[in-house]
Amino acid sequence: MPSNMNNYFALVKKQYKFKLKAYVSVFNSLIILQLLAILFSFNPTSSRGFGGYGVDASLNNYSANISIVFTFLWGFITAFIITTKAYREDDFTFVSNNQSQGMANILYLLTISFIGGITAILSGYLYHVMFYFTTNTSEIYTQTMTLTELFIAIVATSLFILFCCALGYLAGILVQLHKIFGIILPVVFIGLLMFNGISGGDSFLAKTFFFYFQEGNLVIFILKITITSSLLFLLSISLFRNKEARV
Amino acid sequence: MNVVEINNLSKVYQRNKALDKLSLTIKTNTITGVIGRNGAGKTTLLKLIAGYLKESTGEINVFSKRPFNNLIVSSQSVFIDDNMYFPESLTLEELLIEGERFYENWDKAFAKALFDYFSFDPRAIHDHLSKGRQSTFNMIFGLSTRAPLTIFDEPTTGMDVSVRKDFYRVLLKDYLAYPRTILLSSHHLDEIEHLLENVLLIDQGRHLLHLPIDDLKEYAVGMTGEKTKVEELIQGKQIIYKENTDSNMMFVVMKRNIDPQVLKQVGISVKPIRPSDLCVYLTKDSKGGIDDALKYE
Repeated sequence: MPSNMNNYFALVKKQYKFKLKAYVSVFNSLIILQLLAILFSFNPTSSRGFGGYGVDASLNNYSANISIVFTFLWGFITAFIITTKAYREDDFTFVSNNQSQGMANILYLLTISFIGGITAILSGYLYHVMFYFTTNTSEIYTQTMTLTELFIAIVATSLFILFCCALGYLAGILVQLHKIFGIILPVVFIGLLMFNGISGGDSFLAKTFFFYFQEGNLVIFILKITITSSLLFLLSISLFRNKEARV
Repeated sequence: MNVVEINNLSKVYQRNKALDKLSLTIKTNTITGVIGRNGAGKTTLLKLIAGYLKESTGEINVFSKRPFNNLIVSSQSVFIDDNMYFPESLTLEELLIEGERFYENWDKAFAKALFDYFSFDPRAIHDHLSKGRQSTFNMIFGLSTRAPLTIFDEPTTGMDVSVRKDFYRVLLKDYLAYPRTILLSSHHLDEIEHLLENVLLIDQGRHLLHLPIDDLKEYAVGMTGEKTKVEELIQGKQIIYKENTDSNMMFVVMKRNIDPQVLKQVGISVKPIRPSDLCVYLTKDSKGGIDDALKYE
């Protein structure tokens, strides 16, 4: 049924475009969070002072990485929010079913992951510029990236955001299926975090974290993230296949 | 051709049975009024037809397809009520543009004409409108889709009298100009009687009557007379409603099958029963009236 498939993809595309317009506030929150992150970044991450022989010197390390961390959380929360009733039911006012809605949501999250990744990395440069004009430090040493490194940084960050989106989306779907997950998920997550603290960083959570975040090979990293995210999305869509609208 | 075919359909929410073995068919290009009391199952039925809800047991086909989660049914039908969700970030004008993108039969000129007639601000946000204005906008949206199956669930909630009148008029004119299948639920049959071709009366999840409106007008008569005489007359016959209006007077509603001449001779007065009253009598609880529930001194 090729014509049916064409219709299906045409519809997913319409829904995707609709979401780009309708969920525009998602980008407002991104901008606010990244500006906030830059503000926080004016606190040095580490600081050392030297003195003697009539010279006083201090070495402060600054990092805009907090912007990237914020963007991860932003991805998670955005994905969670678009599973909630108000967002979900919009689609059914127009033309939709659960699968086409899921596909359009994934395309949307993919898009915002890359927008988030690009802006998060570039906000580092904005930070450099702001830092240069607002502080009167005599010497600023910056870690510079080549164009290739910049590209890799953007791809890697975007994929991490996508991964966060996939997790947030699944969490959202579970909570929408049953409210009890609204309690279970945070308890399990915070519980694992605490357990990780007690067990000295050798827990399930830590191992999972290292499995994804410590991967040195770019290709394997991309594979790990895309396969895991795809599986998470697939699970979300199949869990939601019998979800009723307008209940 | 039938647009909707329903066979033994039941829908159960957690504990409560909203629809109980309902069977009916809706013919193509007709206007059907879905009538029933609060909680009769009207909305559940309409949402099942729209493909929003999943049937518990039984069979439902819309355009010969099972509607739940079906894209063809979704694209060929529209469901309008006072709880429609629209994104808060889009203006009314943008919502109409989106409607045009999603519905292939969308009539842009018609939408614009109604939008201007009801003097909507193109930049207004749906959520910020009053209830009645929201209903009015939803109505414009629903009619503009020209969807082959157009479902209105209590569409006039919050509308003032003149908007309601306008709505019914537009609905009828547009239906005549562009025939389609319309389902319209309401508990005010009086108001929509003149539009309808068929009436579907449901009560407690079951279907009581599904008749052309003209048949419904002729369906029953009300008779008032001396208690003894009336009781004699109705003996062994199925009656719809019975009430003692006085210590020795009685009012009964029953199917029209008695010769009025006979009644005149025994002093029983006969009056026609309006469809809306008939629906009330048919769906009345057997508990007695509100007067019996509350005992005032």
